[in-house]
Amino acid sequence: MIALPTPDSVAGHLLRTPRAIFGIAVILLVLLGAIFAEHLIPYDTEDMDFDALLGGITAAHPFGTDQLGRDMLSRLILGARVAMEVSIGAVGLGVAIGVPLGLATAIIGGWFDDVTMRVMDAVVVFPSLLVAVALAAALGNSLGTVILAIGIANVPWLARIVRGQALGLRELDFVAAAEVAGTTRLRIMTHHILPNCLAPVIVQTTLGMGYAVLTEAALGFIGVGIQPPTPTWGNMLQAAFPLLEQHPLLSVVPGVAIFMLVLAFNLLGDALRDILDPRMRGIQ
Amino acid sequence: MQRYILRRLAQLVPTLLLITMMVFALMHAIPGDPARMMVGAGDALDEAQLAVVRREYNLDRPVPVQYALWLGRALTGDLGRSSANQRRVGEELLLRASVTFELGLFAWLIAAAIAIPAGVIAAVHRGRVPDFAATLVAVGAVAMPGFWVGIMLILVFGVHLRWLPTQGYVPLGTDLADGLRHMVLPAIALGITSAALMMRQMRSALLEVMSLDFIRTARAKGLAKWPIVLGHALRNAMLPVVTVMGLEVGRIFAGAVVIETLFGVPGMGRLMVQAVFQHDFMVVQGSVLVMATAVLAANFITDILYTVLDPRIRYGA
Amino acid sequence: MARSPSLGRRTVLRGATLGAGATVLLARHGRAAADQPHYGGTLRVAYQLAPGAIDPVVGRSGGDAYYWRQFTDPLVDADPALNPRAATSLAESWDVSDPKSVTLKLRKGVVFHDGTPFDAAAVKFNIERLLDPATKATPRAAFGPVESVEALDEHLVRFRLKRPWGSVLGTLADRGGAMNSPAAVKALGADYAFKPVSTGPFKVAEYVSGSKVRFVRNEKYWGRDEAGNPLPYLDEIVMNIVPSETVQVSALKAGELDLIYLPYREVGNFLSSSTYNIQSFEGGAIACTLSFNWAKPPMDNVNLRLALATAINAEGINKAAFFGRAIVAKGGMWPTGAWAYDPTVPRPSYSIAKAKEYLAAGGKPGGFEMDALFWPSETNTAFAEIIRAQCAAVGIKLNLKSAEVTVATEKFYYGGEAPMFITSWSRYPEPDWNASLIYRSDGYYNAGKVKNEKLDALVDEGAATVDIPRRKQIYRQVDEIVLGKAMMVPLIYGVTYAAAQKAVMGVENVFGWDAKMYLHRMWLKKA
Repeated sequence: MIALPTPDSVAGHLLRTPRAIFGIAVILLVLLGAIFAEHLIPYDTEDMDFDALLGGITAAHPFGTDQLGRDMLSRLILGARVAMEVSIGAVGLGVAIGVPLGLATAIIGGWFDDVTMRVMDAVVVFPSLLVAVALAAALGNSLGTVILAIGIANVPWLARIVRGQALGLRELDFVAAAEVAGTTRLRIMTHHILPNCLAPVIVQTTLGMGYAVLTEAALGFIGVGIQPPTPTWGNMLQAAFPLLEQHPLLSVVPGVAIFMLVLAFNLLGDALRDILDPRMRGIQ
Repeated sequence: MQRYILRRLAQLVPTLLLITMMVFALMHAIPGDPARMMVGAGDALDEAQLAVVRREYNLDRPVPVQYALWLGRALTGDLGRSSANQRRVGEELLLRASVTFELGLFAWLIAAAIAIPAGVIAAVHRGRVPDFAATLVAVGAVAMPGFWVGIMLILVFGVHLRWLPTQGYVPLGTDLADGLRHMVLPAIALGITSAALMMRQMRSALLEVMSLDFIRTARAKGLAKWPIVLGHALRNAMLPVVTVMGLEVGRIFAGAVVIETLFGVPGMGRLMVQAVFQHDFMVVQGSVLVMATAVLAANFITDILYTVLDPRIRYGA
Repeated sequence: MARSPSLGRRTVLRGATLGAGATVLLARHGRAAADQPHYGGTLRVAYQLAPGAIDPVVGRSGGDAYYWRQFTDPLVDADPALNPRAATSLAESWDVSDPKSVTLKLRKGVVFHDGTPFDAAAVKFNIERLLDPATKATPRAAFGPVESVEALDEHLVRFRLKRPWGSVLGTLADRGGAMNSPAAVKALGADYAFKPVSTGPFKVAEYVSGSKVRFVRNEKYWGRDEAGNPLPYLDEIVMNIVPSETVQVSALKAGELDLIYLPYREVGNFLSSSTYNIQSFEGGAIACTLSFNWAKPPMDNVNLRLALATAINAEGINKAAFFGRAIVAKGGMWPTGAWAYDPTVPRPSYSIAKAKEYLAAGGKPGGFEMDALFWPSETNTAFAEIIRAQCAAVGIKLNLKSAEVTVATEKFYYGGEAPMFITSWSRYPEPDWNASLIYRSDGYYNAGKVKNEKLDALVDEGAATVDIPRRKQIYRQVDEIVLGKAMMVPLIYGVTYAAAQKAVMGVENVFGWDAKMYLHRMWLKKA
């Protein structure tokens, strides 16, 4: 049986890895901001002060004000909520569909495997941004649409990983032994194969969350993401771009926020891969 | 090998069919009468024209029939006419796709040209300053949206330094030097994420190979480091890098949508997004077909290259 | 082509908000007029939208005019107030006194770019082409009153009418009045859309899809300037399609472009620098207006509409969304500068106290909640957000819903999906274009198809009347009803700005009646 690190040892490793600590700290910070946004924001995000349009950094507005005189810090914090909702939602959707699908293709095999994997190939090739644009046109611009579009793009990657792992594991002795012992396919799947797929899935989902934040930003920037007045880091960047020369702070604030959160997800994902995939340890 | 190539080619057909079917279904899921969208609102709306448009674009037929009609004509090379501007989709796509291909290829080449040497240097100097610097830049680059990098490039090189044009497209055929100048900033913005990923893959693959026995043996025999790296290790390390480079073609196409909009490059990505909004079914179908074919072709070539680079792999039936 | 020297509102900036810029502009105008036009050169221009088609008749995008204005002439041209102007028209004179017909006497010696003579037969061909549904001509509905066209002699053409056609002259100044070469149309079929051949100052030389349109000088152009010099002055125009306004501005600053539309946010910066020639045109569009579905609750209630109209402070919108560079609306749906514009009609004005009274009168003293549709753009998103915030102050909660412009338009006016639409409105200086479409009970923009007999009667009378002073009275009565009942609430009138490099001369002539750029009077000073 493959030696899977215990949760305790994973945590121990993580807490000895500086980049993992950085990643966890940033993610926790953003997550707390997202959960307690209403209590943290100094101003209502729709309060406009027409006498303080495009304001610089002051004690009252630590990140300045935007083109409608709204407090940037408050909008940034509410944007953090959207970022977390999108990344958790999209990756969750990807896992919820991709993992069972990958397992099923590995266990059932045959034509089901062939057809499913062709569909997955098609989804991978299909530009995810186009899916988002078409979904936005069909269902309207909302949080759900964005999650759905990014979530669909996650499905094939997770399905492929799980399928690959499961196929490899099926050949191994302990699964064969279980089969001989008369254990049902479903039980083998849930009790033997699934736990062993966990490591690569955890790594992929962590990286996928960073990717979701980037995709939301791109969608927001081309105007097909979540629409104002809900502030998102992507639509804040869209509104800021025309004012780049006059007031670069507007572009810098959400830009840095995106950078930090994606960096945090990526560093944590890398650290997890190193720990969970011993073959790679010391090389990355 | 031949049989493998043929079998892989045959697999592409159902994938392509599936993709076009999915696009068709997705487009028809968008609410609103496509004929009304074509004819327009207000003073442009006209019942007699609605009837003409419905007949001309077969919008009065069931959706599966419409798909079959489209597919039949597409097989003969006729992709129909745009409903937004009545231009031939084939002609339009030829122009637009060549722009996106140029930009994508340039971005991809820049990415590879930076990534491979940087990855090699980082691996060779593992744990020292060059490695640290390269890894830091790569990790940072992956965490930045490409369009954001583009915005910063516009600000620095276009507006402040005025070294390079920030918008538009000059075909390489009409003026090579000017065409390349226009292409530099969008290509960097488009390729930067891919460069970072390729570089990291290069680095780790090379480190892995260098830890293998035959390299250690060579070093023990007293061979100098660089000849070993370039002569033995690099070729073996290229395998996973080639895979990543192939996969990056898809990322570059997806990224082109945003980058083309930002830099005013008249490519296919921008065309496609506009077409979705305008309910321009023929253009959406055609451009997805072209884009999917290109990405599938890149994956296919990657597979073939893989077997060429690694003589140990022999594909059976 | 002799443009009227009395440019009126085109050059004179009015209003306190624009005070700082006005003197600068006038000083520049004076100097430019003193220079002698110089022939030759290429003008590099940018525009946001690719053409839907270059052929004026089949193009569906409002932005298409930017392209076809350069190579076409209208049958009947108009000055900025939309008064017909013969000197720049393909028709030398016209007779609209008979309610059953319109007769045009055509200019002699005009030829299409391909050498085909422009005559009565060509006009007949053009009008019949656009009336044929198979052409899918955009202005077909606007030519609804036309029964048939007959060529009386080589230069005399008569439209037989089904019903009186008061807006005929304005309509002939728009895309349906641009003439296409019959020979070229027949030869090219559906491909004609991007290879049009007309009579105007420039010829279409090349269209690079999504990238640019190149025009070259029409050597045989009939138009002359005031001094009798042949037009146009330029050898070539390159119109680059640059979707981002921001990129346009930086390209102008980098010297890659000669002339662009200036976004509101940049106007202050550009006016305070003396590096560029700036021109403005008031009333380019109704930049922000509230449109309602008069049948859909709660906007079927006149008091609640008035509550909304009085809760919104247009000054704030102008300041934040338009950087103080547009004009707070004082009249109705006919823009400033057009003859129908009348700022003296009483209309609801901003007052929180009044808004609360209207809410109480409408049976919702505590306020109410409803959906409001808008279509996102930099400016639209900003004013939709401001309107939402201002309404919240009196207890009206707007749930903003957005969709791309054509989709939103269909959803609101055809689908009846929301009680309110926050939008902008194209410049329709001919009042009947708005009146028939918005106020008539069967108008497309009457989302609830609500019938108001008095309005229907006024609209029909306006549409059938040719005499402008009489029409002015009719449309004033229309405005009294519409503004009094807050049926439409225009909030901001747009101002269109253009910025050009210092070497670009003739910028004072750049805007036509439709606020589109006309480039045949531009010229380049030698470096």
